[in-house]
Amino acid sequence: MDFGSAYIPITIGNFSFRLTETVIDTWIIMLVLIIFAIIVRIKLNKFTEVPESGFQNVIETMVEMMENFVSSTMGEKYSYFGCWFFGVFAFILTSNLSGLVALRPPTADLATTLALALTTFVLIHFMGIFTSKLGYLKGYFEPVPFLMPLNIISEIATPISLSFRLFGNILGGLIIMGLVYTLPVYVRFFIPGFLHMYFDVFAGCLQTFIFVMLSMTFIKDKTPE
Amino acid sequence: MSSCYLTVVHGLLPEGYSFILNLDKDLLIEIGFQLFNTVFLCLFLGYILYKPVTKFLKARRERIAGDLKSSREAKEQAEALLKKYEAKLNEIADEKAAILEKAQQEAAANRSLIIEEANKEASDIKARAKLQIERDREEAQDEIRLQIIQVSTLIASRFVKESLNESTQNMIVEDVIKDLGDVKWQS
Repeated sequence: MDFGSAYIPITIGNFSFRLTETVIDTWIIMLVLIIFAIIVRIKLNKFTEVPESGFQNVIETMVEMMENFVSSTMGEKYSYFGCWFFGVFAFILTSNLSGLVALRPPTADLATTLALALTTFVLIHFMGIFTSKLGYLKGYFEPVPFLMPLNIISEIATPISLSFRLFGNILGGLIIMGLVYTLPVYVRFFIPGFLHMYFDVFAGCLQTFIFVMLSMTFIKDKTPE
Repeated sequence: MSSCYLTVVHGLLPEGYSFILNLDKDLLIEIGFQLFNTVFLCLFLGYILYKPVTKFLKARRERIAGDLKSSREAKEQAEALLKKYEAKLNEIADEKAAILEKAQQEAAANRSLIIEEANKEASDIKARAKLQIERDREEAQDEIRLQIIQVSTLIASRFVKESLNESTQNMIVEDVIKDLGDVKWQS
């Protein structure tokens, strides 16, 4: 039984790499989201003062929810992060839900979750340096200087914990689903439907929310009030 | 599961090549791919979808806030105008009451004057009428007296004519002459 991400080994000259199922699925998800964004951008010109279509209502609700989410977590001052986290949220959520349409969720691959966590890691430290200048570096020597190595480990642990949490949850769901699908049809019958609801929809939404909220909290922690 | 799915869905990945977690150089390359994909997608969604929609929502919010503000101002102005007009109406009511009172007083004064004049005129008319009646009565008395004299004279002359003879007439004439002599003496 194989729960791994399949790949095609590719060699260009002396350089060889794996074109993985995760990357291909990510491209599919990207394509879907990009087409969706372009449709919204085109339809935005036809948006009315009072929403008349369900589509406009859905888009406005999505964006307003994200605005409120960012404002309540990071504060009104940093609400511009909504622009970034909207994309992160949409990508992780679509990736987690992609299991429903027989794709292997890209978030079930450490490369994806680590890439996402690295962007958070960069933003955390960029915002720390940008807002606190030297005070940021001073923070590594607090409360006492000899704890500096522990502080550094703690900082490095942040993207690792973020990425492994999401990766582990989604991969766990994928493995369980894979195991259930090995059962004979007359045994599994309704089981996959319920499990998809739980692992793909419930856990998928929950893990998306957790990842984005923790990212925002970590960034906010490095910035002054 | 995934190999089977790949054969069906992608149809391009061979069987036998798969992994769950390999911490190697290829993972770093894949992280690079995913980093690029993620950053590109997030920025694309952020700038093509999120930002224009938030701009639209912000503009609408500001428009609604502006409308609310102007409505509030218009309401305040309307309330101020209402108060002003109510004050004016009160003033007008007071003025009306004052005018009515003044008019009533003037009317009362005029009424007394008119009644007084009417009474005076009536008494004048009455006096004139009395005077006229008196005159008419006197005229009537004079006329009656004259008629009585005429009738008396007529009767007397008829009586004299029928009852007096020549000697009686002479005696009467003498008496009259005698009386006339006495009158002259008296005067």
